[in-house]
Amino acid sequence: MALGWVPGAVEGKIGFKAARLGGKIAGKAGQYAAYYAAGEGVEFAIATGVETGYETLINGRDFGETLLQTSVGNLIGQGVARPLIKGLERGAKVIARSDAAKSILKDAYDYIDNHPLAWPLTGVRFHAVGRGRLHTDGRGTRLNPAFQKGFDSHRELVEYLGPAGKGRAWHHIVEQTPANVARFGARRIHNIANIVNLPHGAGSLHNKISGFYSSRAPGGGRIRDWLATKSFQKQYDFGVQTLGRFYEP
Amino acid sequence: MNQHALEQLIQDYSAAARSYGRAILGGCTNKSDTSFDDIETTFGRIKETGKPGLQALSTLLESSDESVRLWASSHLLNYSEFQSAVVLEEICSSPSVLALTAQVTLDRWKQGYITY
Repeated sequence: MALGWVPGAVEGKIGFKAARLGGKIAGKAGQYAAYYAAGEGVEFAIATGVETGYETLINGRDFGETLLQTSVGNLIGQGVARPLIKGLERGAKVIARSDAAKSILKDAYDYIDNHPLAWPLTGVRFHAVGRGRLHTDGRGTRLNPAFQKGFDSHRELVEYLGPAGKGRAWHHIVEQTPANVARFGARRIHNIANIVNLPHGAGSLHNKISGFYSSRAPGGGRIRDWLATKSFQKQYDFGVQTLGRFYEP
Repeated sequence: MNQHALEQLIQDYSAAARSYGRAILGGCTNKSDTSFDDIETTFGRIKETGKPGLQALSTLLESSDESVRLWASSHLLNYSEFQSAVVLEEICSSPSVLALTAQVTLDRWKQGYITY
């Protein structure tokens, strides 16, 4: 997939496309440039509006959708990381061709490595925790799908990960039921690729997901019981879909 | 059963189905279970009225509430004249978590586990 780094302003034909998204972004040269890149089929673009001090990360495939719009001061962190992961998940290569872009990407990658919560929120496939998720070579940076680390028990996994944090919990995407452990093996269930850090407590994302799995669907059976009959991959995909549907940015 | 009583049953069914949807979105299993029981009980009474009841239930296939459509289409799956599987398939593409419930229901129906 192509990738573009588009510095500076692009006027004219793309101006109206950016402007129609709202006055708040109209006139920002870097965003124009990013939208231009998106319109040209660029998969992932980072543009810097030098004149205004705003940066925008654009998802090229969904032209017209602003995934990030923030000031420079708030740019580094999950604001960049989330849409960046989306692009990586879809196989985009991300290449920075300027010092400014390299700096932004480095900070974003560091954020991703240190903030596991950034992963499930994109509703994507890989949710590994810890360094090694990203593979960089001369052609750019991609997710490293081979990155996995399994343990014999939940306790060992949590010892490796550390505490979930106050008001948070480690959540297995494929549930850690005895039946699943017996079918798929402990190391596949208690694996950093199968766990995410979620808000926990009344009304939290974690509780909503647990509540949904316990709910009774038409016909009488509980979602959890139906899911238990499926393959690991099906359970994983269903778990990611559930995360994505309950997540509210 | 007179028309008024049937209309009341349909209203009760609709209210319970809405309540189920709210409970699912809020992650409250106790409430969704209570609503589940209400829906099933009310459906049983509707079904007892025969064809008029099912016909009345089919009007809910066009409800603006996704949870109501989910339940009405599920209960009518085995009555081919209402073609409710189409409604359930539409819900499957919704961004709501009820889309996943619809997927589960369709899968179980195809396996012969939905016997309403």
